[in-house]
Amino acid sequence: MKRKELVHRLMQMVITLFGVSLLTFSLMYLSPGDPVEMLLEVADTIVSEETIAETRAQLGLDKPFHVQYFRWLTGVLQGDMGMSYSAKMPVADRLWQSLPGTLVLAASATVTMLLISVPCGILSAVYRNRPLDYFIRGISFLGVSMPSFWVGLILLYVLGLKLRLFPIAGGEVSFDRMVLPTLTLAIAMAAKYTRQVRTAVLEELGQEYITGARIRGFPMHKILWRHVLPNACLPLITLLGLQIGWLLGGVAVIEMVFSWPGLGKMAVHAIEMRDYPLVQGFVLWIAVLYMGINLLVDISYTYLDPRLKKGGC
Amino acid sequence: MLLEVSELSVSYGEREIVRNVNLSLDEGEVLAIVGESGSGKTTVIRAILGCLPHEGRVSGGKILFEGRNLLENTTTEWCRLCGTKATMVFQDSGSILDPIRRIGSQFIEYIREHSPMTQKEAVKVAEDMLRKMHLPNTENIMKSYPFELSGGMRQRVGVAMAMVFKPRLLLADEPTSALDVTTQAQVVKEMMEICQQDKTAIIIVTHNIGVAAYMSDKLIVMQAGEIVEAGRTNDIIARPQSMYTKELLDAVPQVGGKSYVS
Ligand SMILES: Nc1ncnc2c1ncn2[C@@H]1O[C@H](COP(=O)(O)OP(=O)(O)OP(=O)(O)O)[C@@H](O)[C@H]1O
Ligand SMILES: [Mg+2]
Repeated sequence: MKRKELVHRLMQMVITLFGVSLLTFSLMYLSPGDPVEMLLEVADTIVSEETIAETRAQLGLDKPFHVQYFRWLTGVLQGDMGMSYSAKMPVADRLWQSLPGTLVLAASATVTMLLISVPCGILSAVYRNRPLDYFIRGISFLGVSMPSFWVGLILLYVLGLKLRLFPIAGGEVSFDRMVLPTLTLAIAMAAKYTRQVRTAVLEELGQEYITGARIRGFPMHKILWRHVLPNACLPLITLLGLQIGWLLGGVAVIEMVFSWPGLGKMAVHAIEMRDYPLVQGFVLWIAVLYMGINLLVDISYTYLDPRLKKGGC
Repeated sequence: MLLEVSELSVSYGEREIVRNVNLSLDEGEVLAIVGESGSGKTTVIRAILGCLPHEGRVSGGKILFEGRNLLENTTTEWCRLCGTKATMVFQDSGSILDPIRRIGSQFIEYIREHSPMTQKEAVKVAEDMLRKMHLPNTENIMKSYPFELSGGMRQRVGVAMAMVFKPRLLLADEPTSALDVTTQAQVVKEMMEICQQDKTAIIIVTHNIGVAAYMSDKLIVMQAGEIVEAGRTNDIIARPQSMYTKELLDAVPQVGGKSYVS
């Protein structure tokens, strides 16, 4: 990727971030529920109208929409994402607290997913239209059709409650608590990715250079490792980027199901509490992550495909 | 006999595309197959080396190579035969190379697959072979990706790779069709030189009867999946028997001399 292009992409990212933040800000503003009442309700005391008005003024919530948004935006541009109402700490700190949980879960789910889907996808392609292929495709079809929160609940019920193999209550980051949420996410992603790996490998297997390699007397397993997989990697990296995009959203639901202390759980709680600054911070963060991953994908592409590197397109 | 194909038929799915093809080839002989587009020329030579497209299969006949029926080959036997004793050159040698790997690395990988050479020795053999095909600046070519070479260079690389193990049999499927006339003539000439040195037998599929006349000892004319005429090239060109061959020859008025393939 050329420098000019990179600058262009970064500009695009900034504009997108601006749009995303404006959108969530409006949605939060329009949604029913009042952060001040939520905040004071928790304290479980009868509060006077005055206290409510006072708090409202304190948080700047009595100002019109555009003033509120503008104030938030100037803060962010200066590196200040504001204070979380519910956590009573800076939004950035609160995000940092929850980030490791999500990152660990996302990473382990992605690795597990790759360990399942890459071999299955390759086998499925190599043995296309034979029993093994039908079997793998059947399983992956099943996986695609089941909603992931439901899979999560089933796993919890069977492996956690009935067989007592894993703890059912989350709450902290530890290996045995991570197994079930990891599996849940990995199953959902692997079901889709296995098919994509199969398609990508099949596509490569149909190319002329495979015939070429066979004519040069290479055995199939060498052709597979040295030529098919590196070539199939190119489209698969893009698709992996999309999968990780899905993961960033999907992880929120799963964190709720397993009460896993991560960004997703934090975000759901923040929305319930109408904690505007925290929700804003979360959305911004996820958008940056998502776009960052996609940028990385595109950059890696130009390095892996000599036609792009040299062609300069 | 080096190669003897008898009553070969090939089907794609249920459709029989090639029927009852017989041909034979001695050491160092050159056989040309001509015929209109879709007549099954590619299908025949691909069937010989067992590299039909996925849906294609040989539905009858025998292919004897050095006395062994290739249709009974196991996968390992194919690997031992292809690339060393028998090879193939395609219309676009660029497309039969891995697009994201350098020519050199693929050439070396290929050489080392079939011989105990070290990396260094393989590099030398590869570069010598490229020079034999009159490619300038071999070091640069080794470092290039297939898409970076011109059509003529790619075909020369293709021939160089195919000939590196001095095969007994070279199958060439329109190896020069994508090139302009001058380059076509040069590549054909260079290919012939190497094959004559190594006594390699050739089956060449071509649209250019001029090329066929210049190169081949024997000629086969195909139409709609069947052989309509076969024999010594000179005889056929002088006295074509079938209507179809006459039409083919009439379409190329200058046939009869070798002058245009210098
Ligand atoms: N993969 C395939 N699946 C089904 N039919 C095919 C396939 N490849 C070729 N055919 C059919 O086989 C017939 C012969 O094709 P073939 O490629 O052997 O012709 P050809 O003589 O080499 O033609 P050309 O001069 O255009 O290269 C054609 O009618 C074509 O439709
Ligand atoms: Mg053809």
